[in-house]
Amino acid sequence: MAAKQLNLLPAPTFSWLGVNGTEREIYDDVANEITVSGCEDPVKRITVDASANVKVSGSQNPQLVVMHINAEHAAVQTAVCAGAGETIKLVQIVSGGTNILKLDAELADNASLELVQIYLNTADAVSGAEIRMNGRKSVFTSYIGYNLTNDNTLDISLNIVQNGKKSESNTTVRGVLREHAKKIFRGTIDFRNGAVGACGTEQENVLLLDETVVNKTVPVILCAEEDVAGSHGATIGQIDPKHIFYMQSRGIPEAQIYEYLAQSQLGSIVRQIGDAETESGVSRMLGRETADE
Amino acid sequence: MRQKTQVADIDRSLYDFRYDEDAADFLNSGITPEIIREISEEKNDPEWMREFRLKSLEIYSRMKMPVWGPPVDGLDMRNIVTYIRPKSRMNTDWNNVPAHIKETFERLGIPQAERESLAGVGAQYDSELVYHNVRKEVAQSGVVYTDLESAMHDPKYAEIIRMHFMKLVPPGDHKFAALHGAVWSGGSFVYVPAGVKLEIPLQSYFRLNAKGAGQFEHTLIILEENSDLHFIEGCSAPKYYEAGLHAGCVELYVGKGAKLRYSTIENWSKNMYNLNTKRALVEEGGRIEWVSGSFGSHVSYLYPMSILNGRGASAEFTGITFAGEGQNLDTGAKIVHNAPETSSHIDTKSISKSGGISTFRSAVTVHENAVGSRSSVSCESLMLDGISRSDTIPAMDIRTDKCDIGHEAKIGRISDDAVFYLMSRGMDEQAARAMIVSGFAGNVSKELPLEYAVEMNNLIRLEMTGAVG
Amino acid sequence: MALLTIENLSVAIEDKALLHGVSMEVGSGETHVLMGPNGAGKSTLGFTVMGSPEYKVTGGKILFDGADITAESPDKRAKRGIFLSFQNPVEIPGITLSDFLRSALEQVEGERIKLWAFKKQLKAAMDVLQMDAAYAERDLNVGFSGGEKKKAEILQLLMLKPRLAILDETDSGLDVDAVRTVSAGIAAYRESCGGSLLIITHNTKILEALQIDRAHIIADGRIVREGGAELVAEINANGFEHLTGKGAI
Repeated sequence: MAAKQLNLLPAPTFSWLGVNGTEREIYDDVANEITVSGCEDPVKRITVDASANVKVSGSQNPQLVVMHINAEHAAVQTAVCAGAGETIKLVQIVSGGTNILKLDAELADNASLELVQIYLNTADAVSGAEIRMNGRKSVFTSYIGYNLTNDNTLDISLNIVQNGKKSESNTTVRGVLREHAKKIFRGTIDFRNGAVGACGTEQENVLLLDETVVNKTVPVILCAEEDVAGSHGATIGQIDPKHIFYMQSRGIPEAQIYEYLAQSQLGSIVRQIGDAETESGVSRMLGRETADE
Repeated sequence: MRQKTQVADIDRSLYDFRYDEDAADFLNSGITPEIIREISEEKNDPEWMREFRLKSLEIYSRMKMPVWGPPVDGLDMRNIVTYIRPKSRMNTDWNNVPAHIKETFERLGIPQAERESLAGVGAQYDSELVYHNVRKEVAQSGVVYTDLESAMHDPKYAEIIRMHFMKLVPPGDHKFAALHGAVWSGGSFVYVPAGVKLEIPLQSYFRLNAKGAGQFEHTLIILEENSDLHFIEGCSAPKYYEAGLHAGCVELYVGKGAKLRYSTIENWSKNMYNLNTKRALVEEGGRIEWVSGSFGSHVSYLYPMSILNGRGASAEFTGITFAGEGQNLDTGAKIVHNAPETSSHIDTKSISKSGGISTFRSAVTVHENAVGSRSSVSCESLMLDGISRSDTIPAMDIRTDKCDIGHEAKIGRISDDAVFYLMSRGMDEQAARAMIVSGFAGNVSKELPLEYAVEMNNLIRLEMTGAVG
Repeated sequence: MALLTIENLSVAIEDKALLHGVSMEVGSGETHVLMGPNGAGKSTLGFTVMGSPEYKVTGGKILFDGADITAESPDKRAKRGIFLSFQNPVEIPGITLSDFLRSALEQVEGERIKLWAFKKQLKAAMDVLQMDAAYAERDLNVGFSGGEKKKAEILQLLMLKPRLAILDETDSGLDVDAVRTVSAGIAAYRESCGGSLLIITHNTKILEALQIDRAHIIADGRIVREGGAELVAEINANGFEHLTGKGAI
């Protein structure tokens, strides 16, 4: 077991903010080796309940890999390689205890990676991802959702390195914090010199439902190329009173509106999973009834 | 006249002039307790100040350089002479100012500016105030505008200065704050009594004029309840080939219901390390407005902080940073929401050109007690070529649910459509691009007094097309 | 007894007075129109009747079906049968239009609604408005165009079948075809439940297809004129100036 610096911010900032990185003990237990490549099933579901090294590579056919990560403590490394023209979708549903996640992805020309990550009541999760968009016209789309309560902590770092000309990244993050939950989200779009015509967007929306939560958001854009378009945005706080009035005016009582909006906060993320079985499982975990009866 | 299409550097002929240093008392380069004692002796510091300087030096020698931000390795502290005093003493009559110093200021346009509408001029030449004058009506309203060093010896202000000096920015804040505490010299003291609202802005213009000299002026402004002041700080320094250091400190106390606007157009020469610390403490219902333009310096670390300490206090920061060749400008703002119903707004623009690096860096923190607070941050960056760099590093730390925090940032280039549109109306490409950049800087220029806005637009136009007008 | 009675109503927002002693009545099954120049207080009246917390009632009261609702929360008013179509409906990501409508309907009707019955009803209503069924599964108002938002509001009107519908500038910013579709929606609402209408507008195109029972003209927060349908024609011909006393020649 050794302490390790994780989730380092690519461009460090004021030390007193405590966002430049985090430290955790890494359990050096034996990791399972899991390889997913060019599988014949359209959907590949993997349950990870102990440390694992997962390798995902693409094929001619679009591929959907769904990982359920739920362990007491585990280190899960995932390496994704999307070759030229390949399309991969990776879904990670994370719950449980102390889980340290690392995702490394590489995208070749015209490759496309869609990442859906949902964190549900993670006691202590540290999740770092580095997406290297080396390929021309490579596309990275991510949807990240989290629902945290009690003393849950979540520390996320998403570092998108755009090298490829006309590469395109889009990141949507939505979450709910209650009680004593603590969360850091560091999202970096790093436009490298030569990434002509690249664009990248990132948007985080955090709903805070108790006065004891701690939310830290660090949306970074690094840029060394003129011909790019990048943007990021964040909205953090309580429910907009205008939303409350609108919903009340259609007959929904205020107390219910909070619950409703909290549950819906992740709705648009869950819908991106694209696997009905997983979607309804996640909806159940979120305490949201399914549409079909 | 045909315009030059490209100029690598702002035409600084207006600013780049200097006179041979006369036999000012150069102290040894490098900083030791002996030097600090000498400075203290020379200034006839009160006992507490001498202690304060020595303690700050101790902190300075213990502290590490910042681990983030632009590199400062070009800065050799042993080579920075921290204290240079020109021969002239305090003058309240322009006619008594020595001719060469006078000429320097005249070329900077200070007396004209004063004649035109400024309330007072406290111009720092090297480390001492050499020229000082506050218009009579300002003085009659009870407003004090003087140099900090003589105010410290005036029994009327000695105690208030001791109570406030480096209380907002303690020497332990960072290494350069500690350095400042040890070697500070010169600067302004402004006191606005309760209820007094100054209609015209107060202005200070200071500059460095000795090779390798550091500048450590301290500005202390205290606004009592329901008062109102606009303070303008302008800087410009001639060009040198040795690294220069500016580690000033600005402390602003904004009382209940008071309003302070603090405007700066910083245009140090491009060899300067500008490690400046500015901070405001705002009480109930008070307001601080920062207007900040950063054009000069080789390296800048500048993030004015607003501490909103009373219910309903508010802060607004409007800034622009233009980083050209050889410049690494790291600028932004810090806001601390430390009381209920406080609000803040940050609006910044940055431009990178000819290999310049501009970084927007911010921190918005909302404490548990800041119930009902709001904050919005908007920053936009413009890349003018593919060899420059522009980074945006904001951070938010939110610890209450009853708040609304918004942040948005954009980065991009000048749109071809916009250039085409302007060209279709008869403008050449350079002029079109210059106009778009000026428009981009509109957030700041519309907040500045007219003469400053004109000067700033000229700076931008020069950088863009090589001609003014 | 009138369905809606507004008695001497004064309203302010952040200490700025917007309505000064407005009174009016809307009877059951009637169609009223509230007209006036920009900034006269038309929308203020709509929002206040719906109970927006932004608008503070500083005097007078609002009665619905004889009950004083002046201090009631908006959801209670909705349950009584008041509906306000918003000029700028809020965008709520994460909740689909269909999900939202079903929740609202369950609240208003006070019972759970079977999914298939709901879907059928929704489909019929969307057909009236020539809305693509796909809109039902999109997030509430998110990325909807101005016209689509207006249609989504009328869709909710058709589904919720309120006793009184206040339509706030439902026609503004719509092209001719869209106005026709929205008008058809309003007609369908009248047919299905015979509810009352209070139409807030500053132009009269949307009124052409409707039988107006009464028109109220508001200016500077006061009712300056009331009359029958003929008043609408008069406004059409002469504008507001001669009624409000402003810009009179």
